[in-house]
Amino acid sequence: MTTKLTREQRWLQAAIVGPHERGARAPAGPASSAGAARHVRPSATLTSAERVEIYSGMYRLRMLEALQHDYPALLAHLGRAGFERLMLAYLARHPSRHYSLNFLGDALPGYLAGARRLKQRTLLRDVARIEHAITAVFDAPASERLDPRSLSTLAPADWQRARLALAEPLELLALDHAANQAVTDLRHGRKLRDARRRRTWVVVYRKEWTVWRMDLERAGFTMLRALQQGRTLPQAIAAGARSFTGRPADFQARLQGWFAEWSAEGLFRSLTLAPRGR
Amino acid sequence: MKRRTARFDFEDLGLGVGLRAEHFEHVLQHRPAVDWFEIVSENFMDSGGRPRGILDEVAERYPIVVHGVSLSIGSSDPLDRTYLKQLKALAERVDARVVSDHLCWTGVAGRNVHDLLPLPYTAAALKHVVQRVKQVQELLERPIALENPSSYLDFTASELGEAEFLAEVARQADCALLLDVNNVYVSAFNHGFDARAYLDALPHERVAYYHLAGHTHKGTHLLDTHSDHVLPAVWELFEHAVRLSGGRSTLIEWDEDIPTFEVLHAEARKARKHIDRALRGASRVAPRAAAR
Repeated sequence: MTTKLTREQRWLQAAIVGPHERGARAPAGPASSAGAARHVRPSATLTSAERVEIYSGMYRLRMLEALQHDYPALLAHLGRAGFERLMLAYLARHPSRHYSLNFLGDALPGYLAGARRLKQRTLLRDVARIEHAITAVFDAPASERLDPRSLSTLAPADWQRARLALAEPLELLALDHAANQAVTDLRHGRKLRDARRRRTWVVVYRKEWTVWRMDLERAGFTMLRALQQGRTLPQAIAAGARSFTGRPADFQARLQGWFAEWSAEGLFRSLTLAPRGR
Repeated sequence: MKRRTARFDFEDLGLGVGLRAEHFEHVLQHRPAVDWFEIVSENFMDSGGRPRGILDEVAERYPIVVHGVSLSIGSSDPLDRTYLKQLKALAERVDARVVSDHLCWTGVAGRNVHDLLPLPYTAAALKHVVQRVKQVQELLERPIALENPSSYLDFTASELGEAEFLAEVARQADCALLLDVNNVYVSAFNHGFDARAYLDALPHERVAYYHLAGHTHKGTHLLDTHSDHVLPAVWELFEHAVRLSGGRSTLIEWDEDIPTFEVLHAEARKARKHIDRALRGASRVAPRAAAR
C-alpha cells in the first residue's frame, strides 16, 4: 500500500536527484515550482522550489565528493568538468543503494567497461579498476601472514603437495594498459605518459595499514592467480611456466626471486600440505 | 515511572569531540585529555582496515558514543536488518555508551541520497516512526537517542511542529534524545520558529547528550556546515538547554575545514564555562517541559 508518507518521500527524492539524473544528458534545472509549492512551504526568504534546491545541490556535491575521493586519478585525467559529467551519468545508472557512501563507486569499473561511446574507454576502465582495488584493499579485514622463513623450511619431498594460500586483502588485476603507472603519475599531478594498449599485470595488497601496488610479469600473475584458485604450488608453477614467453631456463632462474619477494611482501597467508596420494 | 528514570539515568561523559581521520595520528600519539569521542558509525561498520584498527585503539582508552547517519528511521522503506546487525556489532565492539541517529529519512524505494531529510510531521508519520524506533531498540537491545535534524524545508502536510513531533516520538517509543543545539538554531532561522520555545517543548529528562557546531549564513538561509566555531547565539541557546536538562555530556562536531586537534579540543572546553554559568542560574528558570 502506498501511504501518503511514501508519496511525499518519493516526490522529494525525485525532486532532489531528478535534475542531476536528467543532467546526464541536459543541464540541471530547478525543481518544478508548482510541484514544490504543493509539497513544501515557502520561507520568508525562499520559494518552495528554492528550498528543495538546497537539498538537490548538496546531493550533487556529496555524491561527486565521494567519487572524487575514491577516483582521484580519473579526476586528474578527465578534468573537473569531464569527471563530473561522467560521474553524473554513472550515478543515473548506479545510484547509491547502500547505507555507506564507501560503496558508491563499486560499479564504476564495470560501467566504464560498458560505455562504448566513451573515448579512451579501456584506459579509463583500467585506471578505475586499480583505484577501486586500492579502496577495497584499504577497507577489507586482513588475514594472517605467513612467516617468510616458512618457504625455505619446506622439505623437498613435500613440494609436490604444498599449497600456498594468498593473504587477504589482495587483488590481482590483468589490464589492457600500463594503468598502474598511469595511476601513480596522475595521482602525483603528472601527465599520462603512455595511453597505448598493452597487457600489464598488477597485484594490490596491504601491509599493516598501507596499500601497496606491485607490477607483475605475466608468469607471476598466472602463478598467483592459480594459487588464489586453490591450485597446488607445482600446478601454479607449471601454469606460470606455460605463460612465460622467455626461455625455460630464465623462468627457473627467476622463480626463486619472485617467491622470495612475494613472501617478504606478505602476499601469502598459509602453507599447507595436501593429503598424500591425491 | 521508576523504570523510565533508571533507563534514562545518563552518565555525564564530560566534553567530547568527533573522531575524524584527520586527527587519527594526533589522538594515538598524544592521547589528548578529551573526555570522550563520538564516531560516525557508517565510517567503521564495514572497515577492517586502518579506521577500524585505530578505533579499536581509541576505544581502549576513551568512552565512545556511536552516532549514525543512515538508520533512516523515518523512511517508508523497510528497516535495513543488515545495517542494524552491523550497528549492534559495532556498538558492542566499542562498548558504546550511547547509540544515536537522526529524526529523518535518507532515501526511499531502495535508494540512499545520504542526506538527513526532514519528515512531514503528521500523525501517520508519528505512528510510523514510533513503531520503527521500538523495533530498532528491540533489535539493538538498548535505547537509542534521536537527534533533531537541521532542515531547509518543511512540508505543507505537517500537522505538528518538529519539537512536538520529536517529544511525542521520545515519549511513545520510550527513546532518548540527542539535542543538537546548533540544529535548533539553524532550523529556527530557516523556518521562522522560536528556538527557546522549541527547547522548552522537549522532554529534557530524555536528553542523553548535546551536539554543538558551527554553521554558515548563506544570506537567505543558514546551512549546518560544521565548518567553524560555535557562534555566540548558539552558546546562549545551549545555556538555556542546560538550565532545562541540568547538564549532560556535550560534543563539538567539526566536519569541514577541520582545524588542528588543539583548536577542536579548545572549542569543546569552552562548553564548560557555559555549562557552569547555566547551572549557577538554573534555579531561576522554570523548565516547562521537565515539569510535565
